[in-house]
Amino acid sequence: MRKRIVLPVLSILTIVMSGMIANPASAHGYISSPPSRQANCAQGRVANCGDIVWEPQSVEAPKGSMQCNGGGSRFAVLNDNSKPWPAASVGNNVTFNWVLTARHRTSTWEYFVGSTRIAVINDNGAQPGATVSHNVSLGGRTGRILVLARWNIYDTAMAFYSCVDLQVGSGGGGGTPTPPPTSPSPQPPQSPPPTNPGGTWAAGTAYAVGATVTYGGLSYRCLQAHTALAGWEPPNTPALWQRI
Amino acid sequence: MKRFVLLAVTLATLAACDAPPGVTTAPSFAPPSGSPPPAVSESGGHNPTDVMFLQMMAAQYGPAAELLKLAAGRSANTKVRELAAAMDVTQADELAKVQGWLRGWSEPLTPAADPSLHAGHGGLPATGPDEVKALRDAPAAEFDKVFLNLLIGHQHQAVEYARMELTAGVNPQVLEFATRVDQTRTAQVTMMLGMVSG
Repeated sequence: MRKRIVLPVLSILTIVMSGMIANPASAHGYISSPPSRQANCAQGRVANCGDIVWEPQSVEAPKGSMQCNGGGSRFAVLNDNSKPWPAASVGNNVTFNWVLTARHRTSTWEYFVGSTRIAVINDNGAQPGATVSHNVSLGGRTGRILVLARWNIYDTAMAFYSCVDLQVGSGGGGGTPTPPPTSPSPQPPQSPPPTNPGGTWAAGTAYAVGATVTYGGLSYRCLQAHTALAGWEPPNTPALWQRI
Repeated sequence: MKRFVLLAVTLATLAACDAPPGVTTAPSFAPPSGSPPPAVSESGGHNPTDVMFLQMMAAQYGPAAELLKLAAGRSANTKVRELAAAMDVTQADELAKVQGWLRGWSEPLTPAADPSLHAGHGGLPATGPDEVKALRDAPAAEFDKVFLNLLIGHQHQAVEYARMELTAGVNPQVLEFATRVDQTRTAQVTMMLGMVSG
């Protein structure tokens, strides 16, 4: 029993010593589409975003801020309007879709353009449902705008912040992202994924059933069509790759 | 002060997670003398964080498998179907491995039932029967959107679990597994965010 307590204490010391005071529980939600700034960072569509890439759901700060990062110094990159944030093309009515990693009891969801609150949804302390989407009217605004969304938690002093860059046109309505107005490094045209027969296994490659690769000096045959990703190396994924 | 409270809470929850109420387990790191050593001892031993991580992952796989099978069968988008099918089979392999570790250590295969015990490290899985039902009931036009938003959140949670393990776990094999969970889920989230916004 005593050891049982000692070990966690040691774990805690390790956490403290490694400077990891950020608790995993601080992660909870953000807007996925139209893509919020943190979603664009996590997707790699905007470079040099820092830690937000790993935890787009963690933009938590005291309620009441009008900044994309909720104020403070953490994730300040989200406030940087000089970054080439892509703006999704939309019409006057936009459906904002949220990703949640924890379903906190909610007081309100608020949407702002500039200092004007354009929508508020009052959940009266209820827990969010399986999916959260809000249809919001942009009130006839046109051109490029920045929407700030705040998810106000019912039983804490905190809120989660998401900023979404939009290009509002008359004909839009979907969430199709358009490239930022100035594109410093134009992306090369997307080539079809290489089939890479007989080559070395590489993350990002689309493999068809029967494709063969080498990895770590051994050969493997693909058992199920998939796009390779880091962590899915052939020796780690017997369901996807068979040694030959 | 806040930092201290946070740590105290983490400490309490870590200790609590190791000993789910009503479940009596021998302290895994101190086998009674005379009993055969656990099968894993030659690979470096384990601590309560390792156990907690594996139990939380084990609890995550069930609802994910249901969402993934639905998507592999119903999505109208080839890329979504293919990713879902590949995630389904790779996670089935992972689950077998996770359960193997827990059985080898004579630990329960599921985390303690009280969600408050887990509040300090990512919470119990946010995906359950309600979420699976929401996807099952989703109209065709909304299907991919519902699936992707549910699964992005679900995989993010696995990243949170993995990072807890990488911070405080000790078993080398489980740490290596956590690294792969971190990598694969992060890459999957990147792909799915592209699909949901495109």
